[in-house]
Amino acid sequence: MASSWERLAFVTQASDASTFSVTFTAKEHLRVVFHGFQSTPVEPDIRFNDDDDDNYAGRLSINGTGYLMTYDDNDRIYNYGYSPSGTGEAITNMEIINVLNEEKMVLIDNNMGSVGAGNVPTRRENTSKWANTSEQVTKITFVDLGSGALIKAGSTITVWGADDQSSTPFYPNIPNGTLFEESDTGKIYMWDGTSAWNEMT
Amino acid sequence: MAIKHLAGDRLQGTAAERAALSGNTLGSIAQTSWKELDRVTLGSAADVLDTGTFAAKDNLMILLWVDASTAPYGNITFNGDTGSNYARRYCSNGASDTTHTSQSGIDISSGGAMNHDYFVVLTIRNTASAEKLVICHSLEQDATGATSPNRVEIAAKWANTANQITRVELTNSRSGHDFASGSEMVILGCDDDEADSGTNFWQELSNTTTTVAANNINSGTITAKKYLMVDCHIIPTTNDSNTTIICNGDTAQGSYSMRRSYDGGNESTYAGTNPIGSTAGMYTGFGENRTNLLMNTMIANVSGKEKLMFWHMSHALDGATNEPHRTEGVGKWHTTSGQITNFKIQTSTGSHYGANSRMRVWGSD
Repeated sequence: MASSWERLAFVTQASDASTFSVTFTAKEHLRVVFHGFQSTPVEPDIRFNDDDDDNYAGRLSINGTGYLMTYDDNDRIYNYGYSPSGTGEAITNMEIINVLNEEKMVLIDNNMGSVGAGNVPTRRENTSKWANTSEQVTKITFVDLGSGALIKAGSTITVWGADDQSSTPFYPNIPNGTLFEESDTGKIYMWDGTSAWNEMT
Repeated sequence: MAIKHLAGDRLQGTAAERAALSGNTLGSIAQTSWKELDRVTLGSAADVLDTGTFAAKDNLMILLWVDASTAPYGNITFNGDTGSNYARRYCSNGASDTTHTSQSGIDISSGGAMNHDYFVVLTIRNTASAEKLVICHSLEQDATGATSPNRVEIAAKWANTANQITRVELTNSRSGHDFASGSEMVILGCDDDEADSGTNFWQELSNTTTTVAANNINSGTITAKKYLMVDCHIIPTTNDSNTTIICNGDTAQGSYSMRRSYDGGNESTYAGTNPIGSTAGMYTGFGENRTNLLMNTMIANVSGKEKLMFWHMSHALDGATNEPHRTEGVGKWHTTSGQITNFKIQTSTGSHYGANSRMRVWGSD
């Protein structure tokens, strides 16, 4: 069967917080939609696999020729965390080439602003990269490091991926000891750090 | 429901969602991405493309190909709402943005009438309680033959916070300037928790990984499809790795016209010409030293019409000290007969695309 795109993960922000993450199975081609809500201008910048070292670089334009900035040796990708604006919602569309031994190249489009048809959206275009050549992206974190504003509850992240069909088992990148609470069965499982969930009794 | 990430490395979700987070072996691809929800194709000239009602989905992707040879206007509305509930910001050919608020729809043109064929891809986050935010990339053919197409970028919204989009209309308000027969709007969508059923719209047509350095990477022969999506990841080996597009082996510069911007500026056009060479196909607009390049291309591959495409490129030297550059291009292959069945990215000289460069093509009618 020919390969196609498939959903890898979908998460909803449970309560207002400065960070919001999603974990998923590695794929070479990724598409991500982040739908963020805010009360005051929040700065939900982007990190991969919890890497907070200076391994990111990017080029950002705001409203076309209105503003252009570049950054390198940065500890995150500026999503709309540089000069944030608006009190309404925002969407971030991301395309990532996620090859293990190559740097991860990223294309981003944003639409954000204040509520109401009387407020025109702000448009951002961003080309970025994570200069990591030893891991595939399996976790994306949106994190506010500047404004102190919060990514509101109800914000969502959806991830789709495409890859070769694998005959080798693959496993999610979840910290050893992570607990999973099943809402429909009441059971609780613990991740063994490699390949299995073990029920807690 | 969705998996909730709680404090202290705690996750919460259903048993099925936990199982999906377990290691497994892929036997088949889950049918959980964009599926065709609706399609309207004009059988004769008309002022409106109206999908009628389709199933609400959390994420929409709209493919719009319009034969606008009579220069109609193009205004998109949702759910029949023609009130002053829309706003948009648009950029045409890299010029300063123009903004409009409290509009009766989203004008998808480059500012006025549409000229000849038009290819638009809109992505929309479709949450009932939130404004519907739209990101739109489009290409206007402008004229047939050796004329550079126009490039339009739009950020827009429908300020409705009560309903999901379940109907899309494209309307012309210019009397005597109908959308021509064959004009088409395809609605793709998927929920955040889309069920594994039905068939994904985008099906892989080819998957190429180079094993040795070469002067090109190409799809091989692919099944002809009306809409194509191409992801290309090139690992250049030298500083002489200009990129060009070649469709079905047609290398003549006179067969292509394009426009591109570089890092948000430097808008330039090549109509029937290619600065790389007369037998190099179509220039992509990228012509400098890089060691890593991502290129995403969307193509309207309509038989009997010029083949319209736009692409976005991110390219950089290695290391976090080198910020990527951005190229945005639109182009067309003048050939109207048949369809693209081979898509190639080629370097200007030498075998400068390293091993492990990749191209993957998805398509659908």
